Amino acid sequence: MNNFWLVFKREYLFRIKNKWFWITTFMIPLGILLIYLIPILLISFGEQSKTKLLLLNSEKYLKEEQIKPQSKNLSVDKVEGSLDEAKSKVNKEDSDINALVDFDTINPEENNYNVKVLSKDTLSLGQETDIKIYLDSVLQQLKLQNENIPLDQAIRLNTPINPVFESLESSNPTANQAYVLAYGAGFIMYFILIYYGTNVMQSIQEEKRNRIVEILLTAINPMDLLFGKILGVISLGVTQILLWISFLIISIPVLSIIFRSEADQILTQNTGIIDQIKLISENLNLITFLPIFFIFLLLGVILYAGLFAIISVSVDNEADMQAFSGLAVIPIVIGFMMSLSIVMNPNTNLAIISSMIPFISPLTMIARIPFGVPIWQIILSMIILLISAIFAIWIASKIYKIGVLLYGEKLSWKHIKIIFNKQ
Amino acid sequence: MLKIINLSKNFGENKVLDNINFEVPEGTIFGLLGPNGAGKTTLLRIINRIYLANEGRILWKDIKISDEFIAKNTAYLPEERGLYPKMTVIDNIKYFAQIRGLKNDKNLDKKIREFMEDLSISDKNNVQLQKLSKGMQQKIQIIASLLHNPDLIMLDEPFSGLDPINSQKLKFILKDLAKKGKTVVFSSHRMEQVEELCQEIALINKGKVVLNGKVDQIKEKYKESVYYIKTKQNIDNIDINIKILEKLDNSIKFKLLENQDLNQTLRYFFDEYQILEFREIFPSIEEIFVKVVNKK
Repeated sequence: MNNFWLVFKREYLFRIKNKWFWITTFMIPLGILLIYLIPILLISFGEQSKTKLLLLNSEKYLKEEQIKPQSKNLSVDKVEGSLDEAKSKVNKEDSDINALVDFDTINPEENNYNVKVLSKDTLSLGQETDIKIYLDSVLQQLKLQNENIPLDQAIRLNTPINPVFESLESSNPTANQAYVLAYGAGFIMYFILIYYGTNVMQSIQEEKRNRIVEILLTAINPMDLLFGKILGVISLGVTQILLWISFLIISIPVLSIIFRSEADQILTQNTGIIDQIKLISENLNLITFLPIFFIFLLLGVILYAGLFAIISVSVDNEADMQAFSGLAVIPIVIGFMMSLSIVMNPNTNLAIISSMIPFISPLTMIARIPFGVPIWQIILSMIILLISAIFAIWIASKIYKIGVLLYGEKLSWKHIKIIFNKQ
Repeated sequence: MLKIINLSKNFGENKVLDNINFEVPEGTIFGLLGPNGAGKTTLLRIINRIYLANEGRILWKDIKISDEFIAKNTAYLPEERGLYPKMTVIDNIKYFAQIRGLKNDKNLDKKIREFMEDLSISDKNNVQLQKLSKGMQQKIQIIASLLHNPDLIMLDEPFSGLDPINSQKLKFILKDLAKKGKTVVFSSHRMEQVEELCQEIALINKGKVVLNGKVDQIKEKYKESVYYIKTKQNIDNIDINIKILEKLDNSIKFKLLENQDLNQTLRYFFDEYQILEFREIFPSIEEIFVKVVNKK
């Protein structure tokens, strides 16, 4: 036990003194922030492509004030005549028209509003979305007019409706909030499982490569050595998370003072996301969520650390280690993909079963928690995960002593048979 | 005394060590010899309880060795340097001393300082290990292994990769340890190093001990009536029936034929030449090894 603490202490102190720990501690949140911010900033400040439409024979249905687009990215022109004439106008070399909207393809009397849009070049997704929103609005008005509703009323009636979802109990988040939370938690879980799992693997590999393990094993029991190492790496992870939380608490007020005007602009333009984050922190009972999240995170990291340890002691070179660790990452990726689907349907049988499977439950159960999960399911999932984590470490420590001493050959069934019969 | 009794080890179907028996007296330097792949490293790992034997016993002072004994009373230096390359010298030494039970030793710093001064590396405390030469790293490893004052010291191929100067220094350290009553067991595939260092040896080949005992007794046993004579005059014709192994102007190395009398041969040389030097030539351990292995 005494040596367990020595291993733990060395693993923790050595890594915390390493410059890479501090580089990753600063760079990872910055990276995550950029992943989220870049699309928002691109939408907020980026130049959007302008689209010009040519409406063919729209006048028989729509008046001038009805065809005026709301979006500043869209402009329209009208033309009367045949489709061929309109096409040649669009295809002219100096033409700046992107697409032609052929109103001759609709027939309101027969309730056919499937208008055809013919583009000169391939349109971007953004352009297509702008055109779709514009035509949807214009044709909705036309539909209303066709039902003998006066023009001014038709324009007034054709405004989007945004329902506000709130839960009866303040501690329950709405589906949207739960989605944001589940996605965020899953992302953190995904990253941490891979990052610390591979850290344990590299640490074992280093001792194996330098033959340090031969000396360690003459003085330390393999279980103490492995547990000390895994808990050292996990404690480092906890330190890193605490540092990130501290940075977040300190940096938000500081950054908002420094970038007040930019922040205001982003906030006003992205009230949706900011409101959701604010509402989550107000509505969701984080006091319940966070401990559950941390327990699943801890057990998940122990399980994957055990799995990565098994890989590390079973192979003898960097290339094999990379290949096998790629395989070990697959369940994490599956769990993450499933969690994205679970947040859409959190209480299906598939969701319930997947949240009990140890290798993916840290991700799938966390995705379900914000939507409300019976307590027995959470406890059962934790117990299964705990047993699996202990089992993984037990297997790892069993093969550790013989596996780490295999130089130049891979761990085979022959060795495993020896290990479990008698070392 | 370290006793290895009827020790065997299998890896699956492969018998790596087959009924090994030998004894190492306390306070001596013992050489474990054999070609690469003979089973020396496996044997050292078994003595250190890194592997467990399939059969046999290992006793120290007639008591079966335990994990605790290994942790507290032995030192083991594997062939490659078993230290953390990115840690500083002092952190490495302290860590390995602590796992050997010196965690609460108030004199640890003093002991480290004395050792480092003895080996002339006291200025390397805060240097990262990987920045030091191989010889220097070996010194660090020796310090880290010996701080807990072990009785039994085991070294696997300690001379591999060392230059002649550092090899000499290591030999001096090992002799000094033996003088202080420590028992040193080391493996080597370079037999000439063993001759000048060890009092006793065990020769291992394909997992079996093919030769064991005191170096001088082994040499005595395997001597082949080979002699060397140096004369004042040039040696011309030799009118006696001997097997000449090497002949220079005024020296000759020869082997007696079967049942040939040494005195009669010597009388011939004394009569014919003025003798400056005469000695018997013993076979080297390497020659004995080759002979024994070929015979088997």
